[in-house]
Amino acid sequence: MINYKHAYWINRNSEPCYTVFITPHEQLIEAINNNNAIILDEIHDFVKKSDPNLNFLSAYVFDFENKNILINMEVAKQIVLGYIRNRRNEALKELDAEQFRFMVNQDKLLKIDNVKQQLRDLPIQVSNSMSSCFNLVDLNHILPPILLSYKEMI
Amino acid sequence: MSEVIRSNIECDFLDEFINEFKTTKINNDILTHPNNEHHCSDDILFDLIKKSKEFENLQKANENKKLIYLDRKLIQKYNSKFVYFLQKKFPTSSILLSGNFLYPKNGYMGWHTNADTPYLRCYMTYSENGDSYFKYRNPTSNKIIIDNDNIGWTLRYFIISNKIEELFWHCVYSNTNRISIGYRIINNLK
Repeated sequence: MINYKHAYWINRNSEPCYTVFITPHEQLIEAINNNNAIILDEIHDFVKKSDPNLNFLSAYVFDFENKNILINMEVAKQIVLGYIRNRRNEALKELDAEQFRFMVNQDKLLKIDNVKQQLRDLPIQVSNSMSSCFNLVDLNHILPPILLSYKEMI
Repeated sequence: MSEVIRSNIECDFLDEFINEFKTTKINNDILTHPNNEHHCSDDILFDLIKKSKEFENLQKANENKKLIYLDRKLIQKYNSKFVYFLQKKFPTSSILLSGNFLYPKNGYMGWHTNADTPYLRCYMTYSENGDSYFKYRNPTSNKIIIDNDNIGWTLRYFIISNKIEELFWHCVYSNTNRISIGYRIINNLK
């Protein structure tokens, strides 16, 4: 059986990284030598429990001495906000097309306009809601339904 | 609210959903298994409660189930409609899909608590002939209740707690085709 190792480390650009390896590459060796790496035989418990898809990797703060991973919540909130903005932008694009399709239907146009405004306001709403998020679980549970239902709303 | 609240659902898309579902292929291998209803017996629950030290392992039904996941495309197509239906009732909540199952005849999900995800749940279920049920232990009175499904659609809300003294033990048995679509409703939007 091949023995893979898991490295949580900081690269030359000061970015948090995760690497699965058998033999470490040059940059990783450098990080290990500078005590800028946590090397484990399996996936870190924190990652397994809180962030299995590594969505928040760039918010990780490593405690190399205790082999701990902490989270910069402000960075994590920005990651969620970025994701929501992207989904919001896709929704707005689709509603632009719907607006064009219903150009002569005044009622429909008003409804679309209303939903678009709600979508434009969404990042502020989400940002306010995140003030009561204290960990990654809380953040992962932020999903405004309008991001799924915008087409049903028009 | 410590119990299950149930009501009828009236939505124009439900018939369309069921008609489309009926065109999908169902693997009914479970039909050939011996009767599975004993997995939902009171005695099994009493044994599980005795093993309270293994509490963390009992949050999910894990392998203790015989069911099929609904076709992903079908769920993707109708998810926004179910979400919108709930969004109108819970305008300041995030609404996350938490389960989409098809219990064929003799399908079941054994006793579990879901205590790892302690939020309000809404399950919308469709029972082909009503010969299926949701069974739970009332966390306040400790009474075990069999809540039979309607023929057609039934909507249930219940709160999942992660406090050991308020665990919401529940299970499902179905002697017919039963669809179940569940959402976590988390009041976290301002």
